[in-house]
Amino acid sequence: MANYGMIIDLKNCVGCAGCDIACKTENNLDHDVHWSFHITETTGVFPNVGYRYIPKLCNHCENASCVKVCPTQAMYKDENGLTLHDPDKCIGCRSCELACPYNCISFNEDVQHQHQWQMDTEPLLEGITSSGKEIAEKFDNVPFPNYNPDRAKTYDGVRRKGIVEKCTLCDHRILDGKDPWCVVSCPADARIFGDFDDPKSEVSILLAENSAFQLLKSKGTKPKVYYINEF
Amino acid sequence: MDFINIGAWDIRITLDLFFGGIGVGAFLLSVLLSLYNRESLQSTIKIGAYTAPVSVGIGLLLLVSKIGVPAKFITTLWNVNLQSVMSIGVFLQIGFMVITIWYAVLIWKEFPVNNQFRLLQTAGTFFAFSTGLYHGLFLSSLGRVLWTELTPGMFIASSIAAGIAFVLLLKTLIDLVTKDEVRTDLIQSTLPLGLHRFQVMFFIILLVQLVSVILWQFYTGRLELEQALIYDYFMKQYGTIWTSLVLVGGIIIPIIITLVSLVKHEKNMAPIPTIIICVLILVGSFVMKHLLIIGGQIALPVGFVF
Repeated sequence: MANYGMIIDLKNCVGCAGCDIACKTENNLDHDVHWSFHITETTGVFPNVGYRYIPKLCNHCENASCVKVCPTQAMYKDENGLTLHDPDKCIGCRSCELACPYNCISFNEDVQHQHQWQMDTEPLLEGITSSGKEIAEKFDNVPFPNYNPDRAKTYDGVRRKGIVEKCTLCDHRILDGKDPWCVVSCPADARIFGDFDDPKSEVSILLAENSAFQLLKSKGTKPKVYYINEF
Repeated sequence: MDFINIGAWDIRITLDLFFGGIGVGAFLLSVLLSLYNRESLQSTIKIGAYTAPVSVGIGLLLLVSKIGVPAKFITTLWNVNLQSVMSIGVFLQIGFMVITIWYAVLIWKEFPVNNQFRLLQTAGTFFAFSTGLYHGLFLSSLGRVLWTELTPGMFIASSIAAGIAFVLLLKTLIDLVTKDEVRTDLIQSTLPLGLHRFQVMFFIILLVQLVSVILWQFYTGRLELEQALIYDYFMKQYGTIWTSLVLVGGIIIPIIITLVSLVKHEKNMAPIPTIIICVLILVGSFVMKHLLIIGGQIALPVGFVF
């Protein structure tokens, strides 16, 4: 039993969006779905201007509004404090999407990873490249070329049409004792993952040593993604 | 400032709430009138009884068609989340639907007067109020800026008014077509507060709706920055429609017409004013619910997350 969460060190974050890309490849996200993303804000008037780059992901809130409003218990808290989604129970009512104050839940209007290019019979360059259809046929029973089969250990490998999906904090990797892929792939070590119930964990120490803030704390959702060292 | 429209719900949700609301109002009217002078009011009671299940059914079908996996709607009956207003609401809506069908069938077959029938009416009244309240509570439970604690009051008042308006409109049109005497006064009945007269019914319900809408307008824009910004944006986008069709057309004009009729001690309301009032109330109810569904999905730009 743990209480997993994340700290994002904004002093280390260089705003490369590598976490966004890493998340997409690890979790087989389609082009319009973002579990990890970022917001930017420019303030002030030249020459006194400010710029903020805030990486965002599901906050795995302790008091998750998506869990409260879900009519079928498809959104639930697991024993490790993660806010997870059961696609078998989800009916696609999208209440969670409206209840989440962080806009971290996506809805799949269409079948994921099925695109027009996969039907194209014309090669991009005649005699040089394959056609989209030929490439699609070589997928070898996976939905798209860079499909990550590990994702399917705990969640649908590719999520279904008509239901929502969200960040799981790479629970399939946590299961194997690994950190989430956005944490591992960050080139600046800006993301730190760990157990907030363990006082010796890096996240607990960082939280104790630094002044931290959470997004929309006033909403009362008790988010478990903390930001430190904002400058 | 670029506001975000989450756009999770479309007009089908509005129609569910609108038709469901008509069902609630029609059923309550039918029960209320059946308590008194059921013989002379039989046709109105019947219209109300038949309208309720059809209207609620249409609403439910539209709701089911909107969810991502309609075939899984039935699973809400066993995957219950007691924290979720929607989860409880599913039972209320289905319960109400079953009762309205049962009620309509009994009225169609024999129109009995026995304890069983009274029990059904009592249970139906409970489910009708619960369903009417649920529509607003469901929205306010999602914690979105424009779906406040005042939404349930606005919704139930609007639903009851729309239900009565729909039944009365239908009754008036049928009477006009069949060249019967158009009667909207129900003078032979003796309901307390003069509720046997549609003018009084409308006047009281519309007054409740007016107060709840004004309170909503007053408080929503004044609580905190996020609410104020979204409310201002909402009013800039839809303020003209809101004021003209919801506030003035849907509530104030019908209140004035009914008030004039009451002051003149009119026993009968003429068919044309009746039709005008009913159409205005129905349009106002629909527009109010639709604008609130749209407005509730407006969010601040992504930068406003602190």
